[in-house]
Amino acid sequence: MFEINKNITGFIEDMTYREQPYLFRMKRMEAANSLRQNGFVFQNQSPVSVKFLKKKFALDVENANTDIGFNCTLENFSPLVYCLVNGRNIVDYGKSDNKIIVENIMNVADKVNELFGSLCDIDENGFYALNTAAFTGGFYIEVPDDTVMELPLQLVSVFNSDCDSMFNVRNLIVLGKNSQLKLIQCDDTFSDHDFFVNNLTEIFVREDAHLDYYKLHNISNDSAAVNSVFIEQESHSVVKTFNMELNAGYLSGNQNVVLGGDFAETYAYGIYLADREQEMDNYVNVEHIGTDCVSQQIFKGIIDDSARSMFTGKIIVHRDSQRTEASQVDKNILLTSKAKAYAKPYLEIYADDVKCSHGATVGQLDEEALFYMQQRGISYENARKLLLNAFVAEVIDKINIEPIKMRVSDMVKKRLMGELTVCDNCVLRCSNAKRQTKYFDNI
Amino acid sequence: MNNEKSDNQIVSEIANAEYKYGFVTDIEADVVPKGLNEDIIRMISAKKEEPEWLLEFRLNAYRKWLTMKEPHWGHVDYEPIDYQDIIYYSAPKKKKQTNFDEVDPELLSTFNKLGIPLDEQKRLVNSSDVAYDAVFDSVSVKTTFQDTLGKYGIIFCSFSEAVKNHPDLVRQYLSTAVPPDDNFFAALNSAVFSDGSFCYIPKGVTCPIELSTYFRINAAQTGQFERTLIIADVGASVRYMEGCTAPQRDENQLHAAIVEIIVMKDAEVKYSTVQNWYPGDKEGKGGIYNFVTKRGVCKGDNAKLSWVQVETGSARTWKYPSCILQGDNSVGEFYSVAVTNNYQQADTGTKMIHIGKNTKSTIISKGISAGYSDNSYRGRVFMAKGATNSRNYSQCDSLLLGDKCGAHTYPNIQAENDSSVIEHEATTSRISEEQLFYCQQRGISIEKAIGLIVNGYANEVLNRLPMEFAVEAKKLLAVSLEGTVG
Repeated sequence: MFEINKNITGFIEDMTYREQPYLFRMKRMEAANSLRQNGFVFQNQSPVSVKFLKKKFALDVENANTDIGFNCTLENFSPLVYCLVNGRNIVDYGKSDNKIIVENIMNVADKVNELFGSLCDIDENGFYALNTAAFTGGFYIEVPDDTVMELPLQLVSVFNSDCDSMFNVRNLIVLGKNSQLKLIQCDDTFSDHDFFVNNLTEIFVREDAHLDYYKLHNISNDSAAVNSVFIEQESHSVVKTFNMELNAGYLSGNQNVVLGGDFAETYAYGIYLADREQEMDNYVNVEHIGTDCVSQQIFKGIIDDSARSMFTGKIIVHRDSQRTEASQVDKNILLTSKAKAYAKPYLEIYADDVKCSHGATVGQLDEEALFYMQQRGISYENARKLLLNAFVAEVIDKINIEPIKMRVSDMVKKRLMGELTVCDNCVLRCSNAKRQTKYFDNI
Repeated sequence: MNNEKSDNQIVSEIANAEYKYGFVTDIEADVVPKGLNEDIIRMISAKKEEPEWLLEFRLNAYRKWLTMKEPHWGHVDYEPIDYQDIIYYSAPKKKKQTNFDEVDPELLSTFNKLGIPLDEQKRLVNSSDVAYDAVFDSVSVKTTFQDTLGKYGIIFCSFSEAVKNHPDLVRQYLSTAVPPDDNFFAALNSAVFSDGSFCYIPKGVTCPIELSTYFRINAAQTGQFERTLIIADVGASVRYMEGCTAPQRDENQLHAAIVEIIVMKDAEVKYSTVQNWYPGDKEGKGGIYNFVTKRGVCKGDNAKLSWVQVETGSARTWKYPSCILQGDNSVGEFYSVAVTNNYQQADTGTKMIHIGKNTKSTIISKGISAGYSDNSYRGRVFMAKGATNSRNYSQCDSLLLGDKCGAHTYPNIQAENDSSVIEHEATTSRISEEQLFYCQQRGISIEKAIGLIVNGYANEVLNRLPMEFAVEAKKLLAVSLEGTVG
């Protein structure tokens, strides 16, 4: 039984005594009890997350300098932007839109009474329990029925602290019937210290609603992020998720999708590029309960140096979910002899009229393609880069916001060259200059 | 031989055959009391006149077993097993102890009924090239063709005989592939194993005939815990087959066997199983719990080990024949067809552990589920750091017949070097309406069309079986799927 360190348990204790809505206090007590009784349950996370859990983090970072002046530099891209500073205060960047409701979850306990915590099982995973017990704030987004959001909505979590800190951010998103939303979520750090960010987002997608959900991970090499997303879809809803893991000491993406209604569709795409000693876990669980649903998972990873990746994909098709189409692909390229890739593509099927498939591969770049390109005067290093780019392009091409697609593609290119991979205005330490030249020489 | 029969005959044969091996042989048996403790183990060991070291081995395994917990990670549900309510040793009593070759006629007729003639004379008339070791409950009753094989230096005998006559070989290789504390059921087997087959193929010898072990559970309330050890020395080659049946009973009986295969440099072993333990009745009552540990080690370079299995029987199956590819360039193969019907549950698959350089493995698994059954493939492919340039290809397909059954796939892929390639593919679907329609258009009944399609689907694996087994397996598939349409 793994027990989390004392300063975390102390903080959890403290949180339950604070003045707050009854709902949150009850949920916190339940979660704290679960942690006490079961210890910290590791569901899919690799042991390295233990390393981060043992680290001493400050948990109660009040210092919320709201004037951090966040500015996204994407060209031709002007989304609605909301910032959450240190998981506490929401800063509205002017362009607010009356069509949707954006609130701090701490203030809307009465609205989320039914929904809060209804999708995640706190006994299943220590990170869920920890988040429920210790969250300090987060976004509550409500898109009313029949509302089509033309502009994308960007939610930025900014972390700024003068010591190593842990943040538990809790989001809850509701898409009303027949509504549409493009949501971009990123975490940004404005400090030299290490962070552990434990995000938990519950998303309810009502009938006929459409959601595109982008999540970009690009944090420093000594920081860790656990990002758990729960999605419940009603009939005829369509959800596309894009999980781009470019840099982090430890990353864990847990995505649980329940296709509750009939004719719902869900698409989960992801890329993970790990190097140095980084570890990236991805856990995708798609549960088919309604009939005639479609699900697709495409994950691609490039593992360099002594990095490690783990992909766990699960498709569960329940008894009455006839005419289900589900597919799942995980492809990995290992670049060095120290890199490791693990894949567990699971299928659990209880209905018979289904088309389900999964595939997983671990390998290297195609020798013949490399040879062919070299024959035509392309240097080995360049040919390699081209092929690596082409490898992840399958996922990047699915991105349907053009400026983001360009930016991600650009970042991936830079990342594969060992260059700085963050937005241009970022001040992260991860931009280790020593690696920049690794692939850059031959360009 | 089956070609001569008309199609009608085959169809009626299939239609009437449910589980034709469900009879009980009325024979006096020498049993130990129910339950499990150190005294029982000592008693089994004494009955078999075993040397001290083997008794020690058993007791150590038993002590380890006491500290272990029954695994429940498999996708199988069953009533808890009461390990004190099992008879761990049952041997048919020999009427007047004469010499070993004289087998009780009752037993002979049992095995004849099962299609396993133990009379060498008869076999010669049939000119079939298979040597059998017949295991009845806890003991081996007869091993055929021992003399013929002896001329090649091949040792093929029951495990107990091997312990008496070739103790050094047994001691050298026993538990080198499956350590006693490998898992719960392996520990149990190591403590109480009763008999099984032992086979040693000396250097450079290619076994001229196929070797086969036939297991039969007869006595009620007993468990069967046999242990098979096959050693193919440098450059040797052997093809081995295993078959099994049990009487039709309402209670569940436990079968926890171990098969260990040691493949030395340049040697080749092909192990085929047609598993046809009693699967329980249509309501899921009775049947065998088949919790088996099978593992082979390709110790030397260029060794090759191939597992072929057709799983149609057992109420519950929990079985992962594995290959440890230790030698460079060694090859592991796993071909499996698993059929579950009614309330059967099977969790089966393989482990390919690549340790040597340039090792290759292939996994082809075809699952067919019908009725209310659950059929799972669970596998592990591991490429160690030193297993450079290794290659794995896995394909796991599932076919669903009916909307009450389940088909599951749980592969684990672990790559720890950058020059190996692992590929895994899996699909799950039901029989296509179009194929059925096409067959029916051409006057083939739906029942037969399904048989045809299922056979075609499993053909890739069935083709790997030895001739006699393949014919039997095809019939078994048809019987197992009996009544799934209509």
